[in-house]
Amino acid sequence: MTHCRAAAIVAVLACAACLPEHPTWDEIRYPAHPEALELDADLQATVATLMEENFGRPADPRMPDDSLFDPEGLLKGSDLYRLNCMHCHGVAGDGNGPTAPFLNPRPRNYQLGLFKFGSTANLRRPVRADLARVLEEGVAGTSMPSFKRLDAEERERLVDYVIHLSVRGETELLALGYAADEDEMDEDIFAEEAYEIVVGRWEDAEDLVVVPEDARPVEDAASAERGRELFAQNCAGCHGPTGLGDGQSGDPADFLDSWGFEARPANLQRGVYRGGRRPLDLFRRIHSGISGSPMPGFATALGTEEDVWHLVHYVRALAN
Amino acid sequence: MRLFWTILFGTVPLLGVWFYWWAWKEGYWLPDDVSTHGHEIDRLFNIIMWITGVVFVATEAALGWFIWKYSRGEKALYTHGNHKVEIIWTVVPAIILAYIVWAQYGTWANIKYQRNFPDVPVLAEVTAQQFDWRFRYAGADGVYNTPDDVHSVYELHVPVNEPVVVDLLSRDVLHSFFLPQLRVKQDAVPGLRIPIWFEATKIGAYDLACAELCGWGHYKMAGKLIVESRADFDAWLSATAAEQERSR
Repeated sequence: MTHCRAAAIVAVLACAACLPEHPTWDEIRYPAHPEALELDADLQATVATLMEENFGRPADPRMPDDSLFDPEGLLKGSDLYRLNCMHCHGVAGDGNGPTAPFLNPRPRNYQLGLFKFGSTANLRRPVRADLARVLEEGVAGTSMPSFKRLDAEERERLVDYVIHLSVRGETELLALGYAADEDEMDEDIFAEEAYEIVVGRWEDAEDLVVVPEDARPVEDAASAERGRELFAQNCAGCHGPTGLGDGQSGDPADFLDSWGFEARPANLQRGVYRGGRRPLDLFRRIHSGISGSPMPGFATALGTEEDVWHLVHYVRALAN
Repeated sequence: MRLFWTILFGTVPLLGVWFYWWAWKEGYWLPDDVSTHGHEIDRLFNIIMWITGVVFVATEAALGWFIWKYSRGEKALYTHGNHKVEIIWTVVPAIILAYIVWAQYGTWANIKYQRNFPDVPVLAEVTAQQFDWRFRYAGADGVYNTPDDVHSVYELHVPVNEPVVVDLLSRDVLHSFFLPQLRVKQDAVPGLRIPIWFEATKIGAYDLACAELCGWGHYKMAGKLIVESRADFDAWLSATAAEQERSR
């Protein structure tokens, strides 16, 4: 008996010894972007050091300045993010957390600075209210739930942190791109050629919010009929003649979004709108498109706001 | 050793009873009941709690007694069985079970049988999905899947002191619609539309939880039941409908 017991204790200790050692939260660094590996070791190290000096680490997140928001609340945001978001969106907000491979559509990767469902023009940064709205309402038809169970203040801290991760990711990409092209990197270059450009994009967002100039025309059969004609000319090629999302020709594998995943045109008959179901949301989807997805904005192609509204009315009719 | 084991096993029922009493005294008990049928559920809960409580204490006491009596190192002896004892331990639980069936039947029929549902239109469709709750109200025309349907997420609003019927749906896997303060629990099954009725008796915000392990995010699949006056409910519904039609 004594031998058995001793053997069991030795076995348990042996197993404990082979368990991998996990770093504590305080030790965890934001993982470097895979593109960093293409640089030579010195430049890699320079970029990594600059990144950490400017943006900190998950247990001590920082911003180089307070031009976008007060960085005071970032630690709270980081804690909330760790509890609520990280398992899908990943430590660095690269959309590749442990649960991400099981989800379709995939969790957003913030590092490109692109967010599909905002109020601003195509490929522009969203405004804070857009991110707050996604947290509040979730994204219908996807795995992104509503976070109304957090209070408004907590959601604001999460918005801070998401912007932090996004600015961080985009800055890193620009810095890596510059370092690869010019073979040099230092503090000033990092600020001028990467960080300040990214901050500028976020600062511009407020002025790029799309708001219809005139009131929405009456939603009647004539408007929907005009919308149907416009749909056949502009939308059926992807969304299909009846809006089922079956209009694509060619290999779906060639039809990718900015993050490299297969993008499918929405089935508009389901009446599930990821970007929101208000007429205003549908207007913005058609007017500005969906950032990062192959859905372009049709503002120019349609020419007038009124035609966008006719299309909105037809799309609404499709779901009924 | 004999004394040790007897005391150890004898302590279990004592601790069990003490803990039960302590939890009740300290308020770690069922949440306030704010529904018309909640007291019925609580009555059944208490009946079953008493039956199982008495059986638990008696069984544990017998175990302690047996440990004391038969642990003097005597050899165990083989017995083929005892017809009389077997009949007793079959018939007594059967009578208890029959009693429980009889005691709960009226309540179950009242809450779950669709022919006993209040004759009111379905107030909302509740859709469970990994991992949130979404709600759809029929809107002014009273018909679902029309343009004036009103959508809500996280918050299910209902009027106070009115019987409410909601339809429960699931978009993906099994979930369970659980309103602890209203003593309502119903599984959501993909492909089925399951009606539920309840009547809330007190204005307030109450928990809505998922009570069926539905995946890794089950623990955070929460919502709120907002019970409000008819006037507040109508105002909320029209404000939500108006926001949903926002064009500028």
